Amino acid sequence: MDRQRYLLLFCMLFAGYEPFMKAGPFAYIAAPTSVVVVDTATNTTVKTIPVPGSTYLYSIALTPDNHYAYVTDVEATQVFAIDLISNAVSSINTSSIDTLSPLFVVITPDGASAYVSFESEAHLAKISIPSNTITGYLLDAPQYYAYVLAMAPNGKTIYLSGDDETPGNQVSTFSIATQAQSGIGGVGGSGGYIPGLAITSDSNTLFACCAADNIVVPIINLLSSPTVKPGIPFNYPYAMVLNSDNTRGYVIGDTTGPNNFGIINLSTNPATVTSTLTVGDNPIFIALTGDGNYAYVSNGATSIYVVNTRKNSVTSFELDPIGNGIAIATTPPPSNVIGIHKCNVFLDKTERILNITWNASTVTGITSYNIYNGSTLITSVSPAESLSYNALLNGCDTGSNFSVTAVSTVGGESVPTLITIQS
Amino acid sequence: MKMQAPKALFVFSTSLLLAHSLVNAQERQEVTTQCEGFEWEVKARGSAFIPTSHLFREIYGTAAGNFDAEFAFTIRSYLQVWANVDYTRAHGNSLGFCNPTSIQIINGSFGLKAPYDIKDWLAVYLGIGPTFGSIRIKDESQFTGCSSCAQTSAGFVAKTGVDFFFAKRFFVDVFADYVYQKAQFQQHVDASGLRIGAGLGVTF
Repeated sequence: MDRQRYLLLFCMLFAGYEPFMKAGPFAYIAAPTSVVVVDTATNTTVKTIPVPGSTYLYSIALTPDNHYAYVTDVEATQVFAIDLISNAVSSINTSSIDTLSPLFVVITPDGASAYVSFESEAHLAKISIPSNTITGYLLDAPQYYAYVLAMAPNGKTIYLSGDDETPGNQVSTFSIATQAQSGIGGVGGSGGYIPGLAITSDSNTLFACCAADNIVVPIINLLSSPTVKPGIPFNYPYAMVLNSDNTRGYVIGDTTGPNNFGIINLSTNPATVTSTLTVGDNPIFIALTGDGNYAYVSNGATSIYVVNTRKNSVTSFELDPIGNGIAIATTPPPSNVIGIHKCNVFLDKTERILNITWNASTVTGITSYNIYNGSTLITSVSPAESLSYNALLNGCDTGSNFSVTAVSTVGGESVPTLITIQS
Repeated sequence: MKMQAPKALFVFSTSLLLAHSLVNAQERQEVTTQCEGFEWEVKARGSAFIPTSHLFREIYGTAAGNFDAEFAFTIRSYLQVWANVDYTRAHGNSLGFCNPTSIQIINGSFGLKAPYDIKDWLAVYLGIGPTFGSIRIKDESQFTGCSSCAQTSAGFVAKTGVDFFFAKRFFVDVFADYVYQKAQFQQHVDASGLRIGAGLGVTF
């Protein structure tokens, strides 16, 4: 039996088969006429989803359950909805809302709606998910323009900024419940060009990339009385993302470099750029993996830059033909991972078993749950089988290093959830 | 090695009777019985092995089948040397995850026994002796796969029984043996127990 097992293992290795290869999370990159899915574990293309009828796909956003991607086409008046499980593509005509091209898209945290800005900056379109019916809102231009959008994680407000370099045309809010608009003045200085917005997970602080002023402006107390703080110097900031605990921000500058990638320490007061890196010429899109360890940067060219935020190093890989907007699917990890010690008692030996149970991940398309002991993959469990596993404990192992991840066909592998041992 | 009081009493009384038998063997030569004059005795027996270990009983059940063959040779009147080979096999399930497991015990033992004739067709006996054996346990764990492990064991057996003669040379043996034996696997295994059963014997 052992001989057969070793022979099988040898054949698998010889064939290049990796039985427990970790996958993802997956990055969805808008290429001109397709969406390229890249496994961030290996930075290789997993698949390419053709988008028939598209001309120049630009911005992309994923629903929280990773079921749908919404992609804008900046050389047409259409937004594409892609079912990431079936890869079915639906075209949504936006000409009834705005005759110019759609630009940026954001999705509400409940996954019920997508909001789209336009080149005119004068309208905001709401697309219902998954029916893809579209309604439009005329913005109070020129007072409040909408170019870049940022969705508050609490789902109540969309923050808008314009690219018109007119003073006073800066950041405004759009209430999802009432569609009422209001402005936040004093953001930026001489120029109002704000091509990037980032908001903290508590929905209470917004960072505005004031490109013309070469600063990133924090706006605090959004939920009570918004207050504009002094800007953080950075050369022509264009877009920004935050890590999950809001301790670090990653900003890209629309310059040819060097030092067009900045790491901002948000834990200090005032926040400062602590280090810089170079990520090619004129980066325009940035996305962060769920664990915050990697930032993916595109510049509308063939190279995608990957910043290891732990090591402050940069690598890159090529994309065919080019990459624009990037969205990284986040597979929510399983919750409530509990371990209970049990015994399997024979007359001649007693095996110590850790009974592991967990609650399902909250997204569709989960293909398996991976059980790890430390960094060693123990096994994969199909969700169709059960949400539990009995692991053999060796030696003095208490099982406290066990963790469980969720693996999705759409989002790849989630971050691990560490086990809680119950006595 | 701890023994419970009834087992110790059983062993002690068996030993006492054997000693008594040795001392008085000469005097009893005058007693005539149906089996007198026969030097050899062979019997085949079947029994229920009732383990004394709680763990053994929980895993393999309260009783297991046992078979043995025994021969005895009369060296003096009322004193025999005996030798026995027995085989026990049981199937069960592990505690906790109910994985299949089986146990086989093969013992070889020998010793002395003292028959005492009550009637010409009825005799009782007591015996004692060391036992040496092999305990093989096969576990089919869902976690570690199938494993089979054997260990040797040593112990003793104390035996008693009643022989009913139904013909000149043939008799039925109804018996109760107590076997004490333990072995060290990954954990200590107590395979002691009581064998209660019956068999057929022949003298010649």
